[in-house]
Amino acid sequence: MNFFDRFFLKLFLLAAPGLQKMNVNMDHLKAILVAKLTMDNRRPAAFQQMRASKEKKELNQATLKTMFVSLVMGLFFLMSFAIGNDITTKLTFFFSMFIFMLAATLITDFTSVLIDTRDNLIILPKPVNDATFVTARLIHIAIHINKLLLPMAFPALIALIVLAGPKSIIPFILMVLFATMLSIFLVNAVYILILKITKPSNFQSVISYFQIAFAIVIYGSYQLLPRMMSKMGVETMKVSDLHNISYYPPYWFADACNSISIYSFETRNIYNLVLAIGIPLISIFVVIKYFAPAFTRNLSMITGSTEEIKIKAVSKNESITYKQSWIEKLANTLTSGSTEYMGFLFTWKMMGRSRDFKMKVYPGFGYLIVIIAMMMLQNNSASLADFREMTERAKSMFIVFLYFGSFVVLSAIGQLPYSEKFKAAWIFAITPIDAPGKLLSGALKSIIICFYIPIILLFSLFGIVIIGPTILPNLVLGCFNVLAISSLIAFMTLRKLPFSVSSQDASRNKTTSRNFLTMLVPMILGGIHWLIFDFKWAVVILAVLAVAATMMILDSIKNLSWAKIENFDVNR
Amino acid sequence: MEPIISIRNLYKNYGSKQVLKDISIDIYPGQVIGYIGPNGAGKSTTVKILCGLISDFSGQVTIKGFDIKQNPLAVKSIIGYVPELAELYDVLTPNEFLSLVGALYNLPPEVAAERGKGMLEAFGLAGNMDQRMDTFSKGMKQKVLITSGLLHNPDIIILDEPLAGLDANSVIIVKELISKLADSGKTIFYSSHMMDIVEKVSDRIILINEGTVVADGSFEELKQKQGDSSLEKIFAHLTSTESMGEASGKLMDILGNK
Repeated sequence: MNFFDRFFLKLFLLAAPGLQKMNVNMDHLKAILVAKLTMDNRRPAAFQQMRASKEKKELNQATLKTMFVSLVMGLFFLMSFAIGNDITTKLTFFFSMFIFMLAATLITDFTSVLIDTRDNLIILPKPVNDATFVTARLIHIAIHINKLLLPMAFPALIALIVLAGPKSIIPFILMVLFATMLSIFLVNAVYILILKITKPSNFQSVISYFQIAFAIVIYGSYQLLPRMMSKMGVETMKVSDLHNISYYPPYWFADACNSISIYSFETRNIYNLVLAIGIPLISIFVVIKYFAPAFTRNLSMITGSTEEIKIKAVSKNESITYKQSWIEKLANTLTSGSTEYMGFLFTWKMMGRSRDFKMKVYPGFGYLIVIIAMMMLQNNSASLADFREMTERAKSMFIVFLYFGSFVVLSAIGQLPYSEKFKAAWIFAITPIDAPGKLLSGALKSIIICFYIPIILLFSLFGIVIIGPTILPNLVLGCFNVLAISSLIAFMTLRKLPFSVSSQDASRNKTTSRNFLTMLVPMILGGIHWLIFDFKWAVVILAVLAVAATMMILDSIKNLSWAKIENFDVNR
Repeated sequence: MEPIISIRNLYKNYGSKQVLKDISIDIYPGQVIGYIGPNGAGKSTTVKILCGLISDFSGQVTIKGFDIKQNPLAVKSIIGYVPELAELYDVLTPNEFLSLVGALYNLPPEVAAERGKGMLEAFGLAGNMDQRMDTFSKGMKQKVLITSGLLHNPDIIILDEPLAGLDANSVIIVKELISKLADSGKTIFYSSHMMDIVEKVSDRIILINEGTVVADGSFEELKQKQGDSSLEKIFAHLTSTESMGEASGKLMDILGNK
């Protein structure tokens, strides 16, 4: 526990007399909260989960880190004070960002606070009454929210005091409180929705998709918002002039905050004030009355074992017919020999099912889309007509898009050795695999099929429809250059079997120089491609060479011997 | 003598699936009950009901005179529960974890600290008291769990596979601890798959299969009744529909070995 935990704990325990009347055992409550807060402090929150760095000693200050990140976000929100020329407009943007970020953060890291199934076996067998247990959970959640909330709102409070004077302090704090209630409602609504549309056992993986989407949105808004804002000339806008703005919750909070601090109570202000206070109160009532009970009912099923495993009836005399799935057929055509075939299928299935892997690699796709969007938004971006005529500008963009896919493939290759279930890799050590390279080449082919082929197919379709078949040689060259680069980098850097190393090691082994190298090679090849783009024969010849190179490198990977594989210790 | 645990006509369903069907057992102070049965027989459900983790059952369960539905807290404070699979908050240190558990059992902090320290020392974990448990081996975690279950000196101790992951020396310690606890009047409810240990530590064995009690008595009584020489054989005899020899023969056939 650190200063903030102790402070919040003291603050909430001020309510002790009231709680005791509700039959809450204060000793139990305090013991549970102390343990929970200590654990929070040692557990990385959502932001850090996205990154690989999980070095043990850093975790001790997880709370401070989370608060620091929230503070950085709070500073980022200050951007909203550059928008518009009245306080209400500025605050509307602030509350939009605030509600979005708070809700998104809570959605992604609430699970660890809310769902700890170990409670069932550790706390519930002890003589703790329900009131105490529920209160402990509520206070824990409240402290958790406060730790995010205060640093997020603090910079804006200071900015507001500077802009509008100290009279705005109290209305601002009140409105932040109501906005928080609305965020909690949103989070709960999303949870309930997820539970409605999927099985409780899938809950955690749906949440991790949210985390991925969250990372992409953050990255996107960081890249795009400032550009868009300068484009739209928002410095002078006034939100109250906009139609339909009165349906937009952040505007209620902003206007209510402003009208209280300047004592202006026109009909419009009163209407907003009522909404700003009324809607959050109603929504929090809905949460307590309907959402929370429904959620608790499902809680135990999220990781519980109550779900029955259906046993398929097998009649005794039924002969076993083996039917190949499409991916098995594909694996069959692309690989030779059972080791490579299994390497392909194993990697395919692990990539699709391991949450860890998805969390690390899928955001890359999102970043790709953001970067493409960014280039499109630039003033000097190429139009479709440019592409048809292949102007210089269109050529550059074409090359960038074509080679960008390699980053996704390379990040998947970089992530391939890591898994939470790395110990299971003993199967590779005890089975008679003559050349582990076959596993690796199978894995690489799997990565290419999964992460690159969809991109290049989409892109080729675009190219052929817009530009025409004359673009084909360039497409082939680009595609096989990317494949050759990926294979080459896999050949040089893959020294560990797929999913055989603890994911905690993932951050330690990556050196920046290698990262730089992997960024540099596609850029250099892309540059060369750009130079020869219009020389048809050069492109064709190089394309043939690229295809041959890819084949050769893939073959060399297959022949990698055990001597090239770094020892992996199964028992670690 | 008054039974310390009395289970009367206990039924429990999960949805349409009936897990416990009319179980009635009386257990007396100082008994060591070996509670055995195949996977899915209803062992852990019974254990969870006794610990007050499951309350939507039908039938009556009284522990030391307290009805478990009416008075769950009183029951919980006289039971010590050691769950299986090392379920604990492993980012905490043993010290922190035990002080949490002590507080929840209403022990004064000094008492909890003193007992926890002494017990962990006896288990050879004195040097690990302030290390986070996420680096511990299975056996070390199990030792902390056993300590946490005994910390409040409960009258009834419910053990769910308590020897999992322990080394041979620790197994001896725990086995002796069980018989000493029983000698001092504690009641032990020992749920396990390890037949040889159940055979040795328990003075009464209850075998359940598909939610009903199929055998109940001392090892000697069961031996006489079933005419088998070991608990393993009695178990197989009572719970399996086809003979083990047949099953292993089939396995050999599939591999083509004769």
